[in-house]
Parts: sequence; structure tokens; C-alpha cells
Amino acid sequence: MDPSTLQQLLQGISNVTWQSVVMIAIGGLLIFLAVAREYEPLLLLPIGAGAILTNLPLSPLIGADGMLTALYDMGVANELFPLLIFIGIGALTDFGPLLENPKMVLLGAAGQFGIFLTLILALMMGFTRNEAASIGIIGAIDGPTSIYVSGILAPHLLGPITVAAYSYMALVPLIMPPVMRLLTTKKERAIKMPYTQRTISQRTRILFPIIVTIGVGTLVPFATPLIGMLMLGNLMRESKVVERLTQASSNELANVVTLFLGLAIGSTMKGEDFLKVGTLAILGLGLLAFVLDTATGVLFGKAMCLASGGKFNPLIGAAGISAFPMAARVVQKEASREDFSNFILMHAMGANAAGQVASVVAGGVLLALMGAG
Amino acid sequence: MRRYTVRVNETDHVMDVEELAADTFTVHLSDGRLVDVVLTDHQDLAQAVIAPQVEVGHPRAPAPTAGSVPGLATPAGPGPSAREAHAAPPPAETVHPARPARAATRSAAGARTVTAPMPGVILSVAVAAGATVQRGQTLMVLEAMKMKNDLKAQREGTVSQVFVSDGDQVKHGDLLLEFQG
Repeated sequence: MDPSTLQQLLQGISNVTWQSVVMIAIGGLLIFLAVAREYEPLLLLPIGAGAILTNLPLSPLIGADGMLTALYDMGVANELFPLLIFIGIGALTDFGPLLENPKMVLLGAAGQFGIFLTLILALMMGFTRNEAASIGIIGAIDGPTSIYVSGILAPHLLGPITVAAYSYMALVPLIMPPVMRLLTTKKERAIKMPYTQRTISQRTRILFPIIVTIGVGTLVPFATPLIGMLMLGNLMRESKVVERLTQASSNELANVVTLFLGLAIGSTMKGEDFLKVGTLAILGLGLLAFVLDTATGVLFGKAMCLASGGKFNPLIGAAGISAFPMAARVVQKEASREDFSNFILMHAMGANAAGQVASVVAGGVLLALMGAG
Repeated sequence: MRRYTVRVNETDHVMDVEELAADTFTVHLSDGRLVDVVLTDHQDLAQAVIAPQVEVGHPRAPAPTAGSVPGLATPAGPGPSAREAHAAPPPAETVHPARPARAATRSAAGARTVTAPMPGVILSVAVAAGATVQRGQTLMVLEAMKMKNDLKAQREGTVSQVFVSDGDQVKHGDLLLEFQG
């Protein structure tokens, strides 16, 4: 037999590199986390599968006509997928608790400080401005926003940033409580807050997404795509006249796009690009951004506690991030751990819904700061 | 509008309570006076601290009748200004209208009822009428904002009545369960 024939038949094996082996293991780890731990399985499973498929030797899924590359070009490179997902998120989000308690907007803003602190730190560590901004946005704990911002500013970092954003989102119940406990006293955590159920009229609920879109879009034009899609989904939900579209965007559309998005992000995790010291730094900085967000949120909650004469439970500050509704649930769990009769879930939900909007605005502000466009 | 008839020192007083908002009430006293009441805190706990802000139309006039409304205490006689917040002992059989209760009043006999701490759906009810429960025991599970919340007993006692069943939608403050005595 001609030796070149043998070489051709065995070219798969001969093209195995140590990087591809490590990346396949990482893909396996992501799938394990998705299956065994149920950490954001809807995203981590496709990302893990994408990473494995990408790193198989000479994978035909990557390249000019490769399926994964086609998915990437179709929806990640041009930012289509994260925006489509935002319609679904908007259709699922109930802004009622925020409308009942509008002062929670302040906490949504406070929960974004970590982004900017991390940005400064990343700059000092030698990342470029665009890279630093993309790393900071991990602190929003908002997958689609992270993908959107880093897709514009630093597409080469999409893989690690997305993996970090979604992994930490899954780890909200593990990462937040220690920070919250460290910064509050037992007495503060036990503060009870009266809840008054206000009836929010349907007119208010319908006007809210329209006004927010026009307001935010005018102030922060870079945030228009994200806020516009988020609020479109919410408008459909609250209008109650396009039930089918609401259902489709929060189920079918979101599911299909999530699959495509996960695979496409997985395809960016090519061993040679992913296995760098920089990736570890990104994962570390992303975690720091998240911790700082939680910390600034709680500290702002403490300020509100002081301002209100001890009537505000500072734990709620930690809910001012985007991870909806997990962050609010963690806040409720922490409060009831201190006193089982303490229910601050509705307040925390208000802050959490504000965080959802605020992280989108923060993404737009970052893009504006970096002069993207 | 709800009409309460309360007996203080063998005298019946009638008052009408008009709910303007979840935490704002106007109380019409039988002598024709109107009292604006703002409820700043409301918990059905053994350690309930209820501190309504009471604004009386005639600040100088004593208002002994108001003191007997559960959760609404005005001082009898001169002394603290009408705007000052006071705590009333939680609903109890005997009320002492002349005692200006201060905010720290705590009573273990208070929480006879359990109300919904937030709007949601009752997923399951763990106890039935007649059941004896310990403090901290789960009475029912309330799902709010897609989160399951255990509603636990604030006190030990015997359940006299359960007002909700699985799948019921409840609003904030709805009566869920009542203890004996």
C-alpha cells in the first residue's frame, strides 16, 4: 500500500494536538456541569458540544462552509442571536414588582459598579481598552449583553467571556451569599420590610416598555438594540393581544436561538485561541466583577438602610444585577435563613428587574465609552 | 368600608374604616371625627410590632375609641403628639385603651392568624384544622414569582381553620389560616 494512502486514512489521528485534547476535556466538563449539576444546561450543554465538535481534528464543522461557522456568521458576528434572545427575556420578565416599588431603580444602577471597577483593573493588567470593557461586562451577569458587547468590542474573546458569564450566572447561589453575609450584620439581614401590593394598571404596564425604550434609546443610543428588543418582548407580553407572538418568542424562538447561539459560541473555543494565560485572567476578572457587583449593591443597600432609618434590608441591594430571577431568590433565601418569617422577595424582584434594565444600559454606556460604532 | 364595633369599658363604639390604599385608611369615629391612619408596618407575627401613624383631626382631643381598634392606638389624654407613632398590642381579647403602648410592645399571644406575605399561589397545604403545630413547622407552601416559599408557624398551637386549598390564588394580606385561642 502506498504510505500516503495510509497517511490519508489516519490523518484524523495524526492531527490530534494537545490543545484539542484539553479543549475536548473542557467541552466534556461543560456538558458534565450542565447534566450533573444543571448549571444553565440550556446554554452550557450546546456550548460544550460545540467546543468538542470544533476541536475534533480537521473538523469539517469549522471553516468556510462548516455548520458551526455558518451559525457564527449568521447570528453571532452580526449580533442577531443575543438580540432575538432578548425578545424572549422581555416576554418572560414581569416588571410589576419594579413598578410597585420604583425606587428599586437605584439598586439596579448600584449593581453595575463592579463592571467599571473590573474594567479599570483589566486595563491595569495590560488588556486593551476594548478587551477590558468586554471583560468588565461579565459583571453584569447577563449572557446576551455580554455576548453583544464583546462581539462588537473584542470578538476574539467571545468564547471565554460567554463561558464565564453563563458559568457565573449558574453559580449565583454559590457566589453571592458569602459576599452578602460578609458585608451585612445579622440584624440588617433580619430587617423586615412592609409590602404594599399596589395594583398596576394595564395602561402603565404597556406604557412602561415604550417609555423606557424611548428614554434609554435617546440617552444611550448604543443600548437601543438591546433595550429595544427586551422591551418589545415585554410590550407583547403586557399588551395581551399577541399571545401567540409572546409564546413564540419566549418558547420556540428563544429555544432555537439558544441552541444556535450555544453551538456558535462553542465553535469559538478553538484550542489554540482559548488555551492562553489570558483566558484564565478573564475568568478570574469576570468572577471579581461579579463579586464587586454584589458588594457594591449590598453597600448601596446599606446606604439606603441608613437613609431610611433602618427600614431597608441591605440584602436587596445584591439583587440589583441581571440574573433574573435567581438573584432575587438568593436574597430571599438569605433573609429567611436569618428569620423564616421574613419575606422580601417582592422587593428583591423589583431590584432584580431594575438590574435587568440597568445591565443593558451599562452595556450601551460601555460601547459609547469605547467609541464603538 | 368596614364597620367595627368595639367594646371598651362596657361602652360600645362604632367606627367605620375606609381603605384608601393598602396602607392608608380613614377611620370615621362615631362622634363624627375623621382620623387618617397610615400603616407603616404590618406583620402577623408573634413578635408583631405594629406602628401606625395616626393623624387626628383635632390633635388635642383624646380619642379613647381609636385605641381599641386592633393595630390602631392613639394615646388617651394629653401627652405625646398625635403624629407620634405608637404600637398597639396585637389583636387580643382585652384592650387597655388608656395605656399608651410604645413601639417595643411584644406579645406572644398575638399571631392568631396567618396571612399571605405576598401575592402568589398556594402550592400545598401541610396542615388541616385540628392539627397541633410547633413553632417553625411548615404550614403551607406559597409560590410567588416562581419561587416556593415555606410559610412556617410563628407560634405553637392548634389550627382551628384553614381558609385556602391547593392551587388558590392569594393576594397580599389574605387570611390563610387561624389558630385556636
